[in-house]
Amino acid sequence: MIKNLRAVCDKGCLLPLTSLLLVFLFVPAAIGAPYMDRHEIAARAHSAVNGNYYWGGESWYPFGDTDSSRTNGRGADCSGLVIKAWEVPNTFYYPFEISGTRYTTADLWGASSYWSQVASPERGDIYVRHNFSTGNGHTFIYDQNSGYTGRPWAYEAYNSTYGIRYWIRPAEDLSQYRIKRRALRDDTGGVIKIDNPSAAYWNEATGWRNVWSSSTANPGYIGDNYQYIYGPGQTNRVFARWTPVITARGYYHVWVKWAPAENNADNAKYVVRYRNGTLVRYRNQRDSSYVNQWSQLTTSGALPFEAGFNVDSGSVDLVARDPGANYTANGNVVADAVRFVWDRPADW
Amino acid sequence: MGQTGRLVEMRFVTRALIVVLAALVVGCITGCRDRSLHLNRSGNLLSYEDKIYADLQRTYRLKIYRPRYLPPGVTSVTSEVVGTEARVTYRSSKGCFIELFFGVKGDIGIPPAETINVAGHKAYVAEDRARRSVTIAWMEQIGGSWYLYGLNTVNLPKEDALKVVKSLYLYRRI
Repeated sequence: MIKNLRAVCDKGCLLPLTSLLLVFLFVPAAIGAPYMDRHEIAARAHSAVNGNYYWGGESWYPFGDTDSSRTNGRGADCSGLVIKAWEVPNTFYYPFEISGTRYTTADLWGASSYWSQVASPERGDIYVRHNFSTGNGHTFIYDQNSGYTGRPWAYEAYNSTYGIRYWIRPAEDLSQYRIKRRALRDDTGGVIKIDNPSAAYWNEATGWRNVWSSSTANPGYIGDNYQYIYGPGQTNRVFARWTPVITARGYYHVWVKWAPAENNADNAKYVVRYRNGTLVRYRNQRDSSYVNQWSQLTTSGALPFEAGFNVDSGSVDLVARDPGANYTANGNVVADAVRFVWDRPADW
Repeated sequence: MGQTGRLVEMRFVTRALIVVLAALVVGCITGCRDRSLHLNRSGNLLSYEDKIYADLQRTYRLKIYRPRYLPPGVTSVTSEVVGTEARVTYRSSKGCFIELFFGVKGDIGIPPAETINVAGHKAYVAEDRARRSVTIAWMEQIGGSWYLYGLNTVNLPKEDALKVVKSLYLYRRI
């Protein structure tokens, strides 16, 4: 073996081999988990609010699960909510259960390339405690300070009585907790970005169920992949919906991203719901000039949004088919990402 | 046959009747006891449950529990193994649902106040009356890792859920 390596190196391949070794050593071990910003963590967690608490579960239908009898979409326990919102160790879609590695508080308490311990929390970090002698532990997602000592605003799968909540959590001694921060973050000031796995996918026949196809075939997407569905093949109302947690009330510009291809729709319909209004825009998803570009929907000016998670007044739909509006996309509609970019404070 | 012969014959018939009656009484009692233990487990369900558990024993590597008691009306039993998790599900024609789960990765979190002892473990009892659901779960440490074990019921009175979980016995150690 060594002789063979020497022979290879003698033939001038030392540099490529060394490069390969360096790449191997310095590529993050966390390959598989997508990059995301803290606002996307909050948006994912918020989609579970009012859902079931379910021991050992980590699946929910967006916007509040109401049926405990299903195999998937049945709810989450505390660590299920965290790892699904954090997307570790890989991308997770709603409403499906995790089939591979499933972290618990025992894992979150320790070290990992997917998270690190920090001294003070910011949005999207978690608090975690674990008792190794009993196996019991708890964790929740920090959102912001509430002004009450030891009682932050949090996303939390609390128990079967309270379910999954966004609340100023009950008083508890937080000194027994560690604060952990997800690795692979790509926060940009003033930007709220949400990738395709964090969108909710609606089909009139099946409800909130992400059954769009995933692909990496065409370039120009962000994150792990993009998702698509063929508009003319749909008979029901079908759309993808991104709902951010708006951090501060004010005006935002809205941008969208897709991976261009010739068989995409050239009439992809986007619907932006904002404070007291709706903006409809059509985009040509065949246009190859958008491979590395975002497309701005708010070309006539920034739109007003209230703070918080407001499905009816703070969301973006990408429509594949809407029989009620006599609309059908004329090819694949591609859902990749949306972003809200801060423009100016509210004046209302 | 003389009078003495008839008398002997009658005594014999009487004794035979008494023996038969006694056998019937004993048989009934035994049968009732058996039905009280297995209640509505028809022969088919019982043998299919045997098969389910025998399959689990072959294919699943962690601890397995099996109930001695099932409420009336259970008509079907299925099982599923995914990774470390195994589930055995019983259903009745009246919408009763009982799911036993073994080896599930998860957390107890903020524990409910109500606890019971199940096979030597401190188990937590959670009732969701709105959904007519009862879940009872406990943690077990196996090979250095902690797993959730327990049962989840829908449309089953809490008393029955407790009765099922208390009847669990360790079907297979590891």
